[in-house]
Order: sequence, then structure tokens, then C-alpha cells
Amino acid sequence: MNEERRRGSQDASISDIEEENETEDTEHIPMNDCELGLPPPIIVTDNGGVCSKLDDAVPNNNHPVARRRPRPNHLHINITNCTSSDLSSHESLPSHKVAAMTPISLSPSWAKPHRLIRARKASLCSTPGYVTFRNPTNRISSSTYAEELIHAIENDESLMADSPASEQMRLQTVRGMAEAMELRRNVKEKICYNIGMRSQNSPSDPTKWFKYRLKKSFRKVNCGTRELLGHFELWGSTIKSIEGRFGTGVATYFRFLRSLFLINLCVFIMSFSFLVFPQLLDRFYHWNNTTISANSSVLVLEPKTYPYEEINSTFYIVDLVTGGGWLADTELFYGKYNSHSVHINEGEYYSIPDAYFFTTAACYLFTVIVLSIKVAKSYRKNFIEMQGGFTNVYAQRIFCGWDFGITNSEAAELRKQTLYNELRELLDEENNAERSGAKTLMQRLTLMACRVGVTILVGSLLIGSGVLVWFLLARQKMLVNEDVGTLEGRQQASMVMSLVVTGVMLILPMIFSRLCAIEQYSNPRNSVFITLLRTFGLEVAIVGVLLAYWQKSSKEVQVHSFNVLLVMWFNLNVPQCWETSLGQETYRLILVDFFIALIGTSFAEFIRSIVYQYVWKGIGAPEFDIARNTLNLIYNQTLFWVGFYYSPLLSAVIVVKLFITFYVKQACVLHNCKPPSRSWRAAQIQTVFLALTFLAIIGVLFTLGYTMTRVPASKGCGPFREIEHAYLIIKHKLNNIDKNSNWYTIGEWMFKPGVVAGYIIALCVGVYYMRAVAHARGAMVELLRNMLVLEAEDKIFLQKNIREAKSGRKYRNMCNAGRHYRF
Amino acid sequence: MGNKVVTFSEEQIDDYQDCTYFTRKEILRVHKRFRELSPSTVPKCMTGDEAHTIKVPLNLMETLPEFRENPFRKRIFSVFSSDGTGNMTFEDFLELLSVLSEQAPRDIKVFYAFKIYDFDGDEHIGPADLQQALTLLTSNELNAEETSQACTKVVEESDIDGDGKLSFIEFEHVILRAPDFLTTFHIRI
Repeated sequence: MNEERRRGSQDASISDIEEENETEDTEHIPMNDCELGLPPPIIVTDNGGVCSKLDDAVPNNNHPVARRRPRPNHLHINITNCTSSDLSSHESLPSHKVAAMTPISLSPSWAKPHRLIRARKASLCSTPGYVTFRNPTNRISSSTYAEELIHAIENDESLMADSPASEQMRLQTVRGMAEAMELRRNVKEKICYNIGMRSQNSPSDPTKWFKYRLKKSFRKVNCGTRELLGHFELWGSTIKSIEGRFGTGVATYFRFLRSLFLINLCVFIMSFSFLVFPQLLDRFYHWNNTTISANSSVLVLEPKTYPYEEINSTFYIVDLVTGGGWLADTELFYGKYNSHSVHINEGEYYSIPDAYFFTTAACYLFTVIVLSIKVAKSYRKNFIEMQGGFTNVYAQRIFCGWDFGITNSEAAELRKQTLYNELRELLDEENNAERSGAKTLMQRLTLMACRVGVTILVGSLLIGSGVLVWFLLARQKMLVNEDVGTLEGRQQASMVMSLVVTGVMLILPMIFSRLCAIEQYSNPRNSVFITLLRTFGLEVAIVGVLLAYWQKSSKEVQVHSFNVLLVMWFNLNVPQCWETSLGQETYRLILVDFFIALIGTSFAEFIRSIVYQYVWKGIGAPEFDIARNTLNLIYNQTLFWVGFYYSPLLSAVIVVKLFITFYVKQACVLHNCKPPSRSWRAAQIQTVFLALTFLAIIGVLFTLGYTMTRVPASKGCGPFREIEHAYLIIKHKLNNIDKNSNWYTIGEWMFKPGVVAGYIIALCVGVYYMRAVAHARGAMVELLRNMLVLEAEDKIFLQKNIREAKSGRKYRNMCNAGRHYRF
Repeated sequence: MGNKVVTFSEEQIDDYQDCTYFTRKEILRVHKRFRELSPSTVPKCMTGDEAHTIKVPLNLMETLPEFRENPFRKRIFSVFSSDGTGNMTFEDFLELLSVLSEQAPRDIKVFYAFKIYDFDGDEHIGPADLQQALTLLTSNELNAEETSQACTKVVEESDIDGDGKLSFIEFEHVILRAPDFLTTFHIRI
């Protein structure tokens, strides 16, 4: 069928060839070596212009691609890999013939689409994509070659301009040259010297010069800070050593952990400095206006002399785990925060409710922005720029299979083993697919049934765990209500739920990965993705149920708020505060997860590796399960985001927890685990992790938004006890703005319905435009790609014909017969 | 460290900074690593032409932990050494690490990767090159039939012009679509 395609598309060119061959009957080899295979002549410019000797040898390049291609308007670097000696190997081919043949020959236009794409890409990334190639042979001496390079660069105005941008480009060019260091240094020195000469000859604008200098020094400072920052890169060397021994897959987990840690650290710093610290100050100190002399007074912090607000429970160690008792009455939770402003000086206030609202909002916003940037970057890098599709499976195994970061012999051995296994698997798969055409129907059916069954099972497990959590919550509430008096009963009840939830989160993922084995996914990657999704589903189910339940109970509390008030006044000293109890719940979950999922499993792994090392080899060394561990991180992070609004100091807890997690996991990996036997597509899995995290925070934010606007805040506690809903604080702020100020008018105008509709329409148009452009580009790429394939086919075809023509009577006979020759 | 003995002159450092993707500190670190390989021959002070004349032999280069386990180490050193023997001068070494560093752009990495995989140096990656790479990668565990089958597959799926071997452009095309290449073709020092 290739024949037909070829015939259809290239009839015109073929007949050209025929005529030529008929008349001249020479031995034509339309392509010389360098046209065919050697690296593209020399330079790809950033504006899509490509230049080479070969291009210039094509006066009438009527190829569509060639026509579309912008002619290079600068940068003519004519060092090609074709020298006359190359051409001389085909002496029978007069040079003008090359020109005549080129339109249908493969080389220049063959390389063009590709170069075009690359040049486009380079211009998109806004870094000039200058590339040169090391002189392939030693036909030219290196000094001549350097001269040529210098000459080539000097001919390019954009490179030689006396501006920072072109200096940057010069540097890029010098760095990007695949040449020996000495040669590059030579080139660089020469160019710098020449530039110096030029700028002396033509003294440029002093302000421009000053700007240039400024930019240069700025860049130097920038470089310095980057260097300094690199020095302080958190856990850099640790991650490196893990990467060396266990490959990039495991390192991905640690990188993810590190980025979460850093985000949470920022959140902690923000929330502590703007919210917790002022609140603590207000609790223990007050501002006093001390008069120093007659006309000056200083604000001094003084400890409050009167007893602090009574803390009505004594501290027990167990409170640290349950988050109840003494701990419930601290700044850890929502309930303790003031609903009034801290009075500092005449007319100066620090409003705690404002601080509470805006600090938490800023923290969430910060997290969302950082995460979305990370997701977008990672997605672009690993999916879009790779243009999807992994058709080159074998080539990728061979060319990208080796992880150059590996420094450990065990890991190296393992990587070799993995590659071997993967290649074997691929080959087997191939051979099997060929063999198993007919047998599959029955087997496929059973397999499908099996998969559907497992999926249903998993689904019911998910629902079951959701129901279990709901049931436990209801029971816990009942117990709390019953055992109002006994502290122990309350504590036990509150602990049971977190224990069970953590247990479920620990055990079900293990079951899921076992179940996946039954499903016999042909590709290990698929099974990992499936397990990932299921575990994420579990997390969503559990956290969702928790949130839904709390929402429901908080509403109940409000409905019966009068009862609650009565209970509050007469039975309990602690005001009923659903926000605090929600905070406590997440606090407990996070803590219990710490003890069980982190310390517990690590200890179990430790025991197992001891057994493996000294007692019984059959048990096998534990393996680091990246999917499970990462999802545990995501689960934790989701809990934290849920709880953060109700417990600002939870950020401290999570930071400490992640810090400890890093070291525990590191020790665990380095000492107990063996490297994963399954090779991971680390680059893509990272994006998946980030995307799941992003989904989690979006979900949490929606729920929080709903809570803030729909569920009334507790009347007896917290910063918002005086208003109905937390979000009303914005409304109050807006109401306080001076209605006559310009800013107000502008703001009011900006939020008019019509204007807002305008934004939305503009946004839609923008998105539509971008999409259209992306589609058009995709179509263009596809077109070019097809052209490439077609031309490649032409080449083979023509080569075959020429070979035949060279040796063959067949061709001549055919021609002599006067028939139109069909190929 | 630079207070007492100057390793490089300012000018040299500037040159190296401009010609590689390294910062000053990294260049000095590379020098330290280089010197550790052969403290007797590599001087601490390299302000003269020591940087491109003094060579460390291949067998010493191979002891670097970053390369010890790399199946392609011999090939890498011979590609980057200026004389092609695998004996490296400091500048060769610096260039090698610069190309393999995180900051190096994909183009240059792809170019050198091509060089490395092109064992016979004919500017094409042919079946023989692939076979050699496979043998190194899997410690010769695949049998002859499997190896040749794998090589055929590689050529089949990546060879666009149908000449039975991969040219640089075809190789680049493969690499451009491999998300892992940048993370794996990378050595931290």
C-alpha cells in the first residue's frame, strides 16, 4: 500500500525523473552522504530561518515547506559538513545536476520541517537555539575552523550588537557549540575583542552603556545568589545519594516530600507571624503607653497583671495525642482566637478576626498558586513538550534507559536487570501478540470480567469504608454525648475513629495493589496508575465523608443552638465549638497517621529486613512502594488543608511531621529497602502526583468556601463568633470604605456586572484563540510529519530506481517498450 | 580555599564560566574532583597551560564514583577527550561535566548522546552500534536472537528514511519525545 501512496503523491516528480533518465541515462545518485545523514549543516536561528550551503544550492525550491519557510534574513553560517571531497565521491554527478535534482531529493527539505519545528520551539522558549556541531572530520584544521566560526558569528548582526541581549545570545552560542573547550575559548576571546574594537570605534549612547553595565552587574549578582541558593538546597545531597542508589523513581518521592515541606513551611511562617504570634501576645501581654518624659511616650509590652483567662483543665500527656483537654483550649485550635481587635495605641488596632480570615486565605492562595505553577510546569515539560505518544519504546529503552546518576553498584546491577527484563517483556509481548490472535476472545472475556469484578469490588470497598467512617463518627458522637462526664470515655471514643480511619488508609491500598496483580495488566505502568487512582479515590471517599459529616453536625449544632447554649451554660464549661472539634479531628488523624503509617510501617520494614538479612531469605527484602508512600503524603496534605482553617498551628505540626518523615523514610530506604524492581517513568509520575495534590486542594477549597459562606460560625467561640458567616468580614470591610474615594469608584466600576461579563468574555475569547492556535500548530506538525515520511519513502524509492537504472536492463527495456512505466 | 593558592586566574575562571554551564564554585569543585584522581600529577595551581596539557589516564578516570558503574564510561571519556584516547585533561573533564550538568540545554546533550552511542564513529547509529549499546546495558544477558530482534525493532520504529540506521536527526527525534532523557542524561557532581 506504500506503493500506492507514493504513486499518488509523487507522480509529477516521478515523471520528471523518468524524462531525465531517458534523455541522459547517467548514473544519478541524487543524494550524497552529507545530504542524507550528517547533522544538519550548521545553525538554527531563533526566527525560524535556517541556512546551509545546500539550501542555497536550490534556486527553485518549489516544495511547499520550503516556500512557507521564511528566508533567513540574517545569520549565514556556511560551514557545512559537505566539502568538495564528499561530492567528489560521486564524480559522475555534475554540480548543476544536484541543483536540478534537489527539489525531489530528500535532504534539504527533509531536514527543514524538523529544523523548522525546532526553531519554532526555540523561539517559543525565548532562548535562541543556536547549535553548531563539532567538525566531523579533521579535514579543516582547527584554527581555520575557528576562523570560520568567528567569521560566521561576526556576520550576524543580532549576535554582534553591543547590547546585553546579544551578549546573552553570544554566550549561549559559545556555550552551545559542541566544540572543544580550547576552540570555544578562542572564539569567545576573538569575538569579545572584536566587539570591544567596534564599540570603541562607535561610541554608543552613554545611557545605553550605563544600562548595559547595570544589567551586567545585575546578572552577576543574580548568578551569585543562585550559587548561594544552590549551596543551601535543602537535603540536596541526601536526595542525590538516594537517586544514585535507587534511581529517579524513589527520588521523586523525596523531591515531592521536600516541595510539600517547603510549601508548608512558608504557610507556617505566614500563619505564625500574622496570626498566632499577635494572638499569643494579646493573651499574655498588653500594650502600655509609658511616659518617659513630658512630651514623649513609648509603647511598652507589659505582662498582663491580672490572671490570664482561666485554663480550666490540667495538662495530660495524652492530650497531645487526642488534641482534647488542655490542648483544646490553646491557640492550636480555632476556638481560642479572639473576636476582638487588639488595642495597641490611640487609633491603632490589630484585628484578630481580620488577621484570621486574611492570613488563612493568603496561605491557601499561596499554596494554590505555587502548586498550579508547579503542575503547569511539570505538565508542560513532561507531556506537552514530549508531544504525547510513546511510539519509540525500544529506542527509548536503549537511549534513555541508563540513568547516568547511578553511582552504586547494586543499583547499577539492578538497572541492568530491569532493562533486560523490560526488553524481554516487550519482545515477548510482541511475539505473543503475533501468536495470540485467535485465542484471545474467550480469554479476553474472562479478563474483562475479572477486571470489572475487581473494579466493582474496589468500588464497594470504597463505599464500605465511607460508610464505616460515617458510622464511627455517629457512634463517637453518641458516646461523647453519653459519657459526657468521664474523660476517658470521651478520649477513647475520639481515638477509635482516627485509629480505624488510619488503619483503613493503611490496609486498603495494600489490598488494592494485590488486586491489581489479578487483573493482569499487560503494562506494569497501567497497574500502577490504576492503583494510584483507586487509592486516591479511597482518600477522597474518606476525607469527603469526614467533611460531609462535620458539615451536617455543625448545622445540627446551629439548629439547636439554643439547646447547645443551655448545655453550655449549665453542664459544660467548654463551649460547644464545632470548628474546634473539627480541628481536633484532623489533628488526631494526622498524629495517628504519624504513629501508625510512618513509625509503624517503618518499624515493620526494619524487622522484615532484619529477618531477611539474618534469618530467612525467603521473606524478601522490603521494597519502597512509591505509589503508596506518595499517596500517604497527599492524604496527609489534604488533611492538613482541611484542618488548617480550623487550627492554624496545625501548620507547625505538619512541618515537624514532614521533617521527621523525611529522615525516617531516608533511613528506611537506605538501610532496609531494596531498590524497586519495577522501573518507573519518573518524569511523568511526578506530574501525576502534583496533579492529584492540586485536585485535593481544589476540592478542599470548595468545601471550605461552602462552609464559610453557608454554615454559620459558632456563636460561643472563635474569631467570628460575632458574625453569622466568616466571609461577612469582607463585607464589613467593604462597608467601611469611604464611599466617595476614587478607589471605591474604580473598584465599584470594575465589579459591575457588565464589566465582569466583559472579563469573562475576554477570557473565553483568549482561551478559544489559544486553543485554535494550538490546534493549528498541531495540524501543522502533523502535516509536516507526514511530509517527512512521504519524502523518506520517495528517497528509498528513487534510490531503488537509480540502482536499477544503473545496473538494470529492466528499466531500459521498459522505456524502450514505450509504455508508461508504472512503478 | 582560594586565598592562599590561586587555582585559576580570574581570566581563566571567567572563560570557563562563559564556556560552560558552571558557576565559579562548581568549576573549583570540578577541579578538586579532578585533582583527587591523581594528586601527584595534577597541580593545585593551574594558571598556566596545565588545564589543557596535563592528562589523567583513562583507567584513573574510570575510578570516579560517578562513572564507575556507567556501562558507557569508556566511550564517554573517549568522546570527550580531545585526542580521542580517553585520557582527559582538566578542560575535557570540565566540558564533560558541563554537558552532563542540569543546566545544559537539551540540544547539546542530545548531540553528545549521539556521539556516545555512535560507537564506530560513522555519524550514524547502525545495528552494530545498537548491539554494542545493548550488550553494555544488559551485561550481555540477552541472547543473540533477542539482541538482534531488539535492534531491528529500534531501527524499525525510529528510522524514518529507511536506510537501516539512525542519523542524527532521527536520533534527535527519538530523544525529543523521551521525557526521561533530561533526567537520566545528567550527572550531579
